[in-house]
Amino acid sequence: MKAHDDADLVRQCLAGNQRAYEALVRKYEKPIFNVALRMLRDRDDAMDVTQTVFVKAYEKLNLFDEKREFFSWIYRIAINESINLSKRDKRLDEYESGITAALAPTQEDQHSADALTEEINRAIEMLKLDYRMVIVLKHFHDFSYQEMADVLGIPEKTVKSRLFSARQQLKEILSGRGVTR
Amino acid sequence: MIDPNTIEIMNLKLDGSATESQRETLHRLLETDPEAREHFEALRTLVSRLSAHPHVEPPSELHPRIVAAVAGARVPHRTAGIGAWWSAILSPPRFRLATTFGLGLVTGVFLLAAVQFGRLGTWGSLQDVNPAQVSGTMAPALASELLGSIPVPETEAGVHGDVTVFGGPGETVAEVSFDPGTPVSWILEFDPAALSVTRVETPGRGYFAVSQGQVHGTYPGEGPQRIVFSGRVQPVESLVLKVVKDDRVVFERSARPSR
Repeated sequence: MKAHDDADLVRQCLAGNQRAYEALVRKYEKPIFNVALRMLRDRDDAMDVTQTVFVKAYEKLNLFDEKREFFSWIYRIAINESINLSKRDKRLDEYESGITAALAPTQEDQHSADALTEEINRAIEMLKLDYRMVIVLKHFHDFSYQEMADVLGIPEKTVKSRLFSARQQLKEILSGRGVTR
Repeated sequence: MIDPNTIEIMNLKLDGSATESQRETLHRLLETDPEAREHFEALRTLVSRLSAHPHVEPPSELHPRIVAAVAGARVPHRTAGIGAWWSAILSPPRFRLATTFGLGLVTGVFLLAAVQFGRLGTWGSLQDVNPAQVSGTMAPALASELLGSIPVPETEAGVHGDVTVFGGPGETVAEVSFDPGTPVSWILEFDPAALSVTRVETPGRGYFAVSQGQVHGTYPGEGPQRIVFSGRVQPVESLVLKVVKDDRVVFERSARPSR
């Protein structure tokens, strides 16, 4: 489904068609949940944030600027909500072993999980929030520099700088943990 | 030591954003500088591994939770005014007769419903109950035994009200009531293993959303609102009321059994 379909669904929703909004929920609930999960490291928190994101987006739908992409708008809400929850819970600068459990695969996924994935997850969690955001958007959601700039509300140049620094830090963390090639 | 400009070009290359001249520069460097080559290989491996991370599947209960929560949310404003809608629908002359007939029919049904049910309902209040979560019949509530209550003191919740819990054979009814004139958002939590929502009743324009173990409601400023459950609440303390203001829970209390 393309961006103009999203805009069309938004228009339908504003015209009173709630099913149109459910279509947007279906399309974006998984990526938004994953953004929140990567940022917050906790499934329950990620679910709460995902729910809040869709409720807030719904209530503010009339403020959505159709010149923007809907996904940029809703991702931005998700990032902001995740940051808010992080700050509220004073988790910003924490690094705790529990994160591994939060991002650990469910039982059915465990067979395909490997130690490297675990190490990468741990390393991502050690990044500061600004760096974590760009890694999440770039590598888990395949955003372009421009899309990241739009979502995060920062210049593209800053996005690149953060992303490259984040990768450098990740490389060093993994190297320090003995995870090389 | 690799200079920052080279590291930037490496990153741009891996993201597919390097220019032709940047690619050529990097290619020459990698052919002659083992340190740069090693750095680039490590970076490429990292990017490749990061991008191979699959999305985690959200829990199955997430979607119904969102749908229920959205159903209880404020409806966004329409983009077009009623005047624009009205003129648009009437503008083709050949539609005027059909439109007039249709509106007359809708008005008739509406008035009939008002007479039948004794009050004017709204489509909004009907839509906001998630039908997938509601079951049962429209039989009158049998519950008459006072089981307990949840007083809501104004000093704690900023609004005065209460929830009164009645029981009957295989049925529990919670009546939610606040001081008139003040719309209030609330959540009533219950044990989904013991109770399931049969129906909800509200005067005026109240909203409800039912999800697993919770009923979200908006008190319309007149009451009471009634939530009818099939099943007998046991213990009555398992019913918990939360009052919500500005997306925050400002009051939370379990039901107290009556004496």
